[in-house]
Amino acid sequence: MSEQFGKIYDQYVEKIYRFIFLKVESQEVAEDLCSEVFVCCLEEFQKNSIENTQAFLYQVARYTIADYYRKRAGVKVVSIDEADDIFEEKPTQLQEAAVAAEMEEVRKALARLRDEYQNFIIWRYLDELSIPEIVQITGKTEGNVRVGIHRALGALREEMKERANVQV
Amino acid sequence: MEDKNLIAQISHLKEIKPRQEWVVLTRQRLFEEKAFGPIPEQTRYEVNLQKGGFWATIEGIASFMARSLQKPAFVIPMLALIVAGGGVGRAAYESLPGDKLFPIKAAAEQVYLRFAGEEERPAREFALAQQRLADLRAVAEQNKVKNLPLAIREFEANASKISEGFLQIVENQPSRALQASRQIVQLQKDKLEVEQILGAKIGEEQEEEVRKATRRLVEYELGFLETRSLTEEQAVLFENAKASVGAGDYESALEYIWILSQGAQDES
Repeated sequence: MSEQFGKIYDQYVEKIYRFIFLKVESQEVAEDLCSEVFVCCLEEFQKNSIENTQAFLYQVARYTIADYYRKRAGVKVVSIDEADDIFEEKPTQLQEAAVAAEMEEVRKALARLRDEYQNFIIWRYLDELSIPEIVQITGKTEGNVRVGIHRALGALREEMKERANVQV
Repeated sequence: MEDKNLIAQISHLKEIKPRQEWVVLTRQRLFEEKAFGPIPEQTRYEVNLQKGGFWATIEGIASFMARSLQKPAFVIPMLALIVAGGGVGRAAYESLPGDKLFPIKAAAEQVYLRFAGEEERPAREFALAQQRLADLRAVAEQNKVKNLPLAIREFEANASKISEGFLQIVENQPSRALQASRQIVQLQKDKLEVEQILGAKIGEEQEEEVRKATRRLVEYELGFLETRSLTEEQAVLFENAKASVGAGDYESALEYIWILSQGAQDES
């Protein structure tokens, strides 16, 4: 059983961590919450069989994040700009610097979207989940998920456009 | 911007990854603490006794000693046995958390602690916490990954005792607390070094308790010093301590108070 759970951990730890980090924007908090998610998953794993591990992990992660913000009365302590050290240091070559800057822009724009849109973008384009997989996590219909992803992408584009205009 | 370009930009976020040390440590902790269930305190040194062979015998002896040492009547014979054990005794003394002979060492330490009077107890608990930190450092430096979770747990258990003890001293005997605080500050510094080796934080809960106690102690000491007449040099230290408090840096404030109090003792 422990070996089986080890495989689950290895398979999902990066995804769940990234999912949480993009919402809490603090390495320490993301690590704590991610640990909580896996502890919860393991407890459930020991008690009952989990039908869909991936969906279960994302659902627990969402509740854990919501709980975190509820306890902190919705105040985000660490600003997006303060959380830069999460990325591995890159050589200062122009091309890589440009990629890092782009990534930063997307991250900040993403953080400003409503929670549901953030989830759609993370699941579809970062974690590369299929539409049926997202349906299993959200409980929405396939049509709603497709529309949601489309709108989320549009909202992100708008956000990035706004940010670019502000910077000009 | 086309969808394709936007999606390409989003995929840059795949670079976000957790620290490798954290991933390994969390995996270890999950398995040690949860997968096999928490180890009950009273049977902590009795694990893995079902194995056969030489180590089962050694572990059996270790467990027997651990249990026997909790009964005062058995203490002296057991310690004699450990001494007579010679090589085994020495190996146990040098063992680290997770090693086969560590239970003997831990049991002997518990006896050392149990026979301490109220006065001596905090100093002994502090010495044990220092020892566990030294063990943890050795485990980390020797890259004994399997031993790491137990070494951390052992340190945190000891650190928890001394932070509780420190809090009690601050509450009940504040005049003695300044001396104790020096040891705590030293332990915190040593812990920081070990954290740098591990690449992870340890004993955060205990640290918070110590921070609270330090704050209370600093406030008590400053209140006391305000009622005293100070030399010019002491007054400067006193002001520095107050400035550190203003900046929320209670550890530095404690340093100033310590230097000030040492000067005062020298004069008297």
